[in-house]
Amino acid sequence: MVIRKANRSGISPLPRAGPGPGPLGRRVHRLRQHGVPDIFVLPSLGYLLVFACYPLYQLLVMSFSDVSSADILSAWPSAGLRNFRATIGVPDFSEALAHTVVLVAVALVVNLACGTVAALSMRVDSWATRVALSFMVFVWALPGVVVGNLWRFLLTQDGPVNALLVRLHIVAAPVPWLVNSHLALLALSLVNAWMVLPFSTLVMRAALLDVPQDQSEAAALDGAGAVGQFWYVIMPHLRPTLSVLAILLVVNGFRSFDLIYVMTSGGPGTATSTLPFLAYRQAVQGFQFGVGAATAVFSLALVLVFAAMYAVTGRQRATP
Amino acid sequence: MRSLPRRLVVLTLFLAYALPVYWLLATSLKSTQDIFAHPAALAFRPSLSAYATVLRQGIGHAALSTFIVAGGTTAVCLLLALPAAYGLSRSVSMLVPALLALLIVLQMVPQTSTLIPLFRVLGQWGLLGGYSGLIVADTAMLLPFAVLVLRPFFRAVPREIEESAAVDGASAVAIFVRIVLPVTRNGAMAVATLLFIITSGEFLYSISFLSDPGKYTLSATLALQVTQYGIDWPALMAASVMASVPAIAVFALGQRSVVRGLSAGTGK
Repeated sequence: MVIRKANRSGISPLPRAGPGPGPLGRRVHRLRQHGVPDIFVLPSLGYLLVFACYPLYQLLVMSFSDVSSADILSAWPSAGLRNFRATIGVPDFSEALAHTVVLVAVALVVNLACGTVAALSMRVDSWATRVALSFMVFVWALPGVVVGNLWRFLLTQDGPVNALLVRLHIVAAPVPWLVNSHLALLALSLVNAWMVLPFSTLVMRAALLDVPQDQSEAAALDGAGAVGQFWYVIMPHLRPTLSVLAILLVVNGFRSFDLIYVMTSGGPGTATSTLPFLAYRQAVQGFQFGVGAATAVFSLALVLVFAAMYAVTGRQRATP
Repeated sequence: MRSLPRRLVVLTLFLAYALPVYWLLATSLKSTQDIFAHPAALAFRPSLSAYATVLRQGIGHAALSTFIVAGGTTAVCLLLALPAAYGLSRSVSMLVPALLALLIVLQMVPQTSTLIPLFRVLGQWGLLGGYSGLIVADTAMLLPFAVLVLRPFFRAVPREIEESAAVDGASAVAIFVRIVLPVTRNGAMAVATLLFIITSGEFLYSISFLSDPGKYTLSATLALQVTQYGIDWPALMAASVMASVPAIAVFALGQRSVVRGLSAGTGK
């Protein structure tokens, strides 16, 4: 996703002068009037219709059908709304929804607050900033499986995090991070937020670099303190970026799968199972493809709402 | 903001990101006995035994699989995305906003939502089990992202260049291949880097669509070793470091362009 300020029209003003009538003139004229032939777009469009849109249509059909792993390739008998009732009715579903909300909330708080502080602190380019930023970008580039395995190790009962906390006398006894249900959800949410923070920081930093310096200086001359400068000069410039970032973070939360699969496998019990994870468990591990599809349709619908918000906000403020 | 708090924040961020990375590397170089004797110790006697263990277990094959899948997906994705992004950056059709909206929506679809129906779609067309089906699925997942990130690079190309080529009688395809593509080389490199990193980290499609565990990619092997390795943390960390190698290598090659792309706000 690209958040970038740009002219939106897509049509740049063209000089009037040019070749007159004739084949060449017609060609230039065509280039100006109709842009590039649509044939450039068609292969991608066709590919996406077949391998992205058609599967989503199949998902929708599946959510209203009776599908088990045995007849996934044959015709499916209709199930009406039975799949939706089967998934929304069970406590697993409301729990998964609640876990997803917690995950999203932690990601939002950590990223919007820490992301702003980090971006403000890293606005000045120095070697220290560059070193810290490159470690952050490196973590961003690490596969989710690696991050999940790493934190599973760091947070074991007798692992490094507990050893450090005990040695620094912050806690008296090792903390059962991934064993206690509430702590596991908190730990998972914090690691997820930690993993996305580099992205948020870079986006916020890019937005900060667009804030006119003279406005801050003028505010300082008028006697505004650091907080006042931030709130009245910088914040208004950041707000569009913050709202786009918030939408992206929510969508990220409703897609979360990799980290959960590796770090907690949704456990202990179902303590860290989110909506996408529940859909996977129902369909692939429980062989109830119809029920899993219904859950997936539900989380897909939520993502669509935020995608629409992103498309609207993004089109107003930044070009996707 | 004053200088001291600013430095403290930068130091905190450095520790928050460098320490876990250090532990990843350090643990992979420790022996199993050393790990829990002094879990928080920073100094230790390095050993390569964990790497020997994972090599014996056939991680070389997994690395090859990763290379095939990530390389194949990156190539197919770019082949489709480059012309599409160019077309969308130049088209004046009324459909462009709708197409862009479709791309944004497709990019945000949770992977589990496409995984479930793809079992049937790929199965019907005989694409389940091998690399080709996996590459097809990965491409479908990443194509919207690739087009959306590439489009601004094409928009930055001045139209006057294309017009003068048209005056010289070049066809639209020739203009694209000979004039526009070379100018947007850096953008294409940045996107190729991102595509390679993301595909090499993907595991859900891999464990679902590859029938032969011998073909599993590094990430897939790693995701499934969760129970297999159990407590052999050095081996697990060694496998993790190896699964990060594609990201590290490609990242080292293209870090500058990637950071530039990221600063423009590129999301995973």
